Amino acid sequence: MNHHEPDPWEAAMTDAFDRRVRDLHEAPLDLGRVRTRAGGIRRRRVAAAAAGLAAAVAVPVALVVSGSLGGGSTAPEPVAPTSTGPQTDLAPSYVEGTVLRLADGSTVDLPPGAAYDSAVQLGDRVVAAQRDPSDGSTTVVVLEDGTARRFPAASGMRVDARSQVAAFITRDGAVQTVWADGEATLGQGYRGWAVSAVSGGPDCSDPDGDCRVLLRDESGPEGPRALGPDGVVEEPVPGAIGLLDVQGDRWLATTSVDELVPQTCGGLYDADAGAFVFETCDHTPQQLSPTGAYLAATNTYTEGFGPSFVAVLDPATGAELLRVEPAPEQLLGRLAWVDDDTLAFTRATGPTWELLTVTVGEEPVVVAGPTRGLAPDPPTSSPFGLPLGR
Amino acid sequence: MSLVRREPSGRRDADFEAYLRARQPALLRTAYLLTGDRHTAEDVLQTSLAKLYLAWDRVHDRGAVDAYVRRIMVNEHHSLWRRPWKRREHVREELPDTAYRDSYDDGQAEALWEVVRSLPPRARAVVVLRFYEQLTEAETADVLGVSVGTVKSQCSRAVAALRERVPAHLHPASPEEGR
Repeated sequence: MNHHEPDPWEAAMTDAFDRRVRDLHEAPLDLGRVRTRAGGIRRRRVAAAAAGLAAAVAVPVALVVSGSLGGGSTAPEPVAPTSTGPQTDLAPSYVEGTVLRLADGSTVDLPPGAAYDSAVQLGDRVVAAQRDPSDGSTTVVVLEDGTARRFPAASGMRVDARSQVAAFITRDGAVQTVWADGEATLGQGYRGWAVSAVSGGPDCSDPDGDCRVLLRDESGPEGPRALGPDGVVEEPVPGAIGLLDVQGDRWLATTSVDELVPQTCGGLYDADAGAFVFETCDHTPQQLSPTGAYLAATNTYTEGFGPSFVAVLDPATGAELLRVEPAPEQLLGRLAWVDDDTLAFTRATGPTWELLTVTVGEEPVVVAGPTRGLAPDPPTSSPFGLPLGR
Repeated sequence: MSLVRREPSGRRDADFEAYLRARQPALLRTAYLLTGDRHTAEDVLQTSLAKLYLAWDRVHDRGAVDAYVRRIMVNEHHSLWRRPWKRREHVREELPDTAYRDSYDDGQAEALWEVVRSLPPRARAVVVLRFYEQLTEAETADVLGVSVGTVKSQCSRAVAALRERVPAHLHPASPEEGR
């Protein structure tokens, strides 16, 4: 006879399992708890997907909160004679403490208090984001005609690649844009979201314009979203888990995260053609240069200490044209375009930071620093605030 | 590029909530058997359901959702087990809880459970899926991403461990002995 006799041990196991759980009929999880956990997972995925830029932004936030500013009343202490470098057309604009240093060498004194995270000049206005080190809260300050208007913000401010428009989310969930001679609210109800990038404009109230604010859900499970003057842009990149930048119909997006490798993949998507121009898992695209001639990128994953290299890619092919890798003891921080082929980035060596620029085909040049970081140990809080998203 | 308002996610949530209501107790029982303690089971189940929630729009075959969640739970528990701090936190000498101890058990079920709890996560997953969920060898292999041969060998090893470690007087009677 060849029929299968049930093994008594297998039957005993079935019995033991049934007895073990037969009184377990509970359902302890409701939708709210599942959504909360989903939000955490989503945040980690988005953070990993956003890679270098998000990590570089996130680390200073955490460290400023617990850092050594002592209430934020003191400026970063120079540890060596500070070289501000030659002020040329290629100098970036950046904020240092409470001073906005403009590309032409002039400076703007910002309202005193804690060091500013980022600032940008928009015509006769200056818009600056100040982070309170005591509680980590952000306030966006709009300076104009000798007056300062303050907006409690939910997260940091972003500026477009041409430095023409700034975007942030107010603490009550309004998506706010500000440009040289106007301001507009593009959406309400975005508590728990953050701005990934802003692009186009500068008039974000013009329904025929191309102003776009790219958002990520930091507290829930929603996918990325793009807002324009007329509402939500419906799924500009099908299946994207992160939107990083946009120019016209070309969208930079993250499409997948493998948390085990770990690795992120993404690329440049042409919405007109409905196809990716290129996709890569070797780089995380970060930002198109002002005219879209180049694409800044970092490595595909960072674990909270900033990108391990910064690269410039050809947006037509994804080919790497330039790469800057720090020495083993160095860290990289934020990056921003200075002009169409020059990228600015921050680099830490021990407790001090430098601001550098690099042009495609040339060697990096130090334009400011070394200056002691806002948090001395570990040295991950750059005193040089580049206008985020620029 | 067209600009349109996104549809509200209320219907999606209602669908998911209905699944949650219907299947959560059964999934919690499986999670408990996979993990061996209530706290970890809830943790694994919550993460697994959260991942399901994130993927809900992409799960087109609603009939396959349980299999999908089982796969996530097994992987989640396995990765949890690989984290040293988690292992330290949950390795205990005593039973983690006694809420489900069976007063009618003559000791055999308790003894078997203790041996099953001591199996490595993958081997425990094999026997839970085979003998509690009553999946076939092929279905079990599919959930775990292993070959049918691996499922068979893991089952054999589990039974061998039971024979060796369960006291003789608690061994189940063979079909012949029972007749």
